[in-house]
Amino acid sequence: MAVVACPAIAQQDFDLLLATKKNPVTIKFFASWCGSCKDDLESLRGKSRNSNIIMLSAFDDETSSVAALNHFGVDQACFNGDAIARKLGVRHLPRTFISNNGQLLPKDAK
Amino acid sequence: MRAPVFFASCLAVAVAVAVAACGEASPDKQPTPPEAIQSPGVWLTTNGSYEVYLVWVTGPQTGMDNVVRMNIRPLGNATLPLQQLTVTPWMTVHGHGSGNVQPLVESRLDSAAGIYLVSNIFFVMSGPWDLKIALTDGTTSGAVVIPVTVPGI
Amino acid sequence: MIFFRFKFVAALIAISGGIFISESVTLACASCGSGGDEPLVLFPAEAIKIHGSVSLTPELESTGPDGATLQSTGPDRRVNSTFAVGLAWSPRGFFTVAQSLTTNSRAVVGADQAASGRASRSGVGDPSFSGRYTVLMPQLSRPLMPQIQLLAGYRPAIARSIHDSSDAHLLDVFGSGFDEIRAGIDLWLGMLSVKPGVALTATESLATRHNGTLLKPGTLIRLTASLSGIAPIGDFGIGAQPVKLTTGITSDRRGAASADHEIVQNSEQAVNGAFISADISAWESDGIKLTLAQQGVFGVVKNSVASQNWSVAWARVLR
Repeated sequence: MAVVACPAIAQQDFDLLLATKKNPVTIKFFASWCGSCKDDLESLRGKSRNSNIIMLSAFDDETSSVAALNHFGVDQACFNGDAIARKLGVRHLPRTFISNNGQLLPKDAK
Repeated sequence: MRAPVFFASCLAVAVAVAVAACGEASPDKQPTPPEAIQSPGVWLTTNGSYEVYLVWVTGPQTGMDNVVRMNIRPLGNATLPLQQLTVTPWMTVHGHGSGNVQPLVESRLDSAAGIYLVSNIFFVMSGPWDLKIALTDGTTSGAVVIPVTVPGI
Repeated sequence: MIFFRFKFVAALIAISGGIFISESVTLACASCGSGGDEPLVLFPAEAIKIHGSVSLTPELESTGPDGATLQSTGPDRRVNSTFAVGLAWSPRGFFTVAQSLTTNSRAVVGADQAASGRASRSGVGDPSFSGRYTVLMPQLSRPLMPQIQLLAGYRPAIARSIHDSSDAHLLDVFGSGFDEIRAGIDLWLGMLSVKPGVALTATESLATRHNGTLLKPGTLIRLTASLSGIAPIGDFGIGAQPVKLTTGITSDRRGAASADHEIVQNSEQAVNGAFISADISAWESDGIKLTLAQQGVFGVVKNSVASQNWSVAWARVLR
């Protein structure tokens, strides 16, 4: 099943979404122009849709983000994460955060 | 006998024309500036008003210790002493001169005879330079560009 | 100098052969133009960025119209410090302002012809205003589609130039003497493991009267070709990311100058250069870049300056 959209999501809706998850959620920031994101996307190729993985496209247009996910066969939920990226101080991509009980913590050093 | 008279007349006319063409110009006429320098080391201003002859006292070399003696000979209506003589070094191919360092023109040698000393000529680097010379007696002006090769080490 | 140039080129080739490319390694940014002369480039996720750099040019050789090295009384060493600020108005476009401080110096020779120290002078250089706009963003889904950026810049002639220098060794020359306008295009294939890029810029100097003569340098065309890639070196204990290495060559060609609207014969300029740089992303928002560049390293050098330049630059993303 292909990804068809990476729609915008309000911060409070996103917080609510995370709060409803029982297990830790992996949140991956990416962009279609980010060559370094290739490995992250490749690692998700063919993985069945998992409710505990959320892709957030950052500083990118929706069409290009969707095309990038489909190019790598990534079939996970995707939202526009510009505002969330700014709030978390994300300046470099790719970035991965782990959400536990609604609290977001960076998984990698950058 | 008409043919010999005819040919003699033609010869006379030809000789007369040749004499007229080779005769000296009237002293009232301005000399035509030649396109090339008259003789090695002697330069003519572009309007033919002055002859300039250079002798390097020191240099040419990189730096400011360059001194040249100029012998200026007026031609036609030009006279001595000069009212003004300026010398500007210019590196044409690089498009720069020597900044604000101005050559000093010394007229005490014998300006009435057209002998001037120019010091403080600054060549910031070796290579092909031009000395832009402008001179005037107050009425007649002239300008000439003299190439100078400043040697490297 | 010739021997040093050969050693430099050999080192460049050796280093280039050893780089590139672990695809499993991540790096902060992919969207980097290949060339351009701005000291500071903003990536799509960056809104405000500052930059500081110091560069040392330990050797300067002027050449004449026939390529021969000229003996010069000018500076034989130069240190440049540059500070720049970049502001993005969108993920695709940004402005930068850069200002440099230059120190010119020259060995002083005493009366006995022995070296007796160095004379130096410092001054502010010409500021630089520039901007870039990414017309075509690179796409992960289309790796052979290049990033295309348009660039433009303006450098006003504010600093003292050679035309109004008062120093016997031109140590007080910090600017070009001409307002400059620059425009160009930059292509970069950033989705490949080894990322080639090429940039073409044209710089037009405005005619200016100096010492009574209206001078206008010829148009400068600069071509830059580069290759970059990632070399995993490891964490230096500061969370340093893998090093991005870039190597490239430049070709500068300037047309004939004019003086009082007349073309100056044999005044064209030409010089080729090579460079290698290492970018290290350290800590959260900082980047460090080391660059070694040499002008006049191969090919024709005409009416130009052959030089070697070492620089270290630091950049921080503020937002």
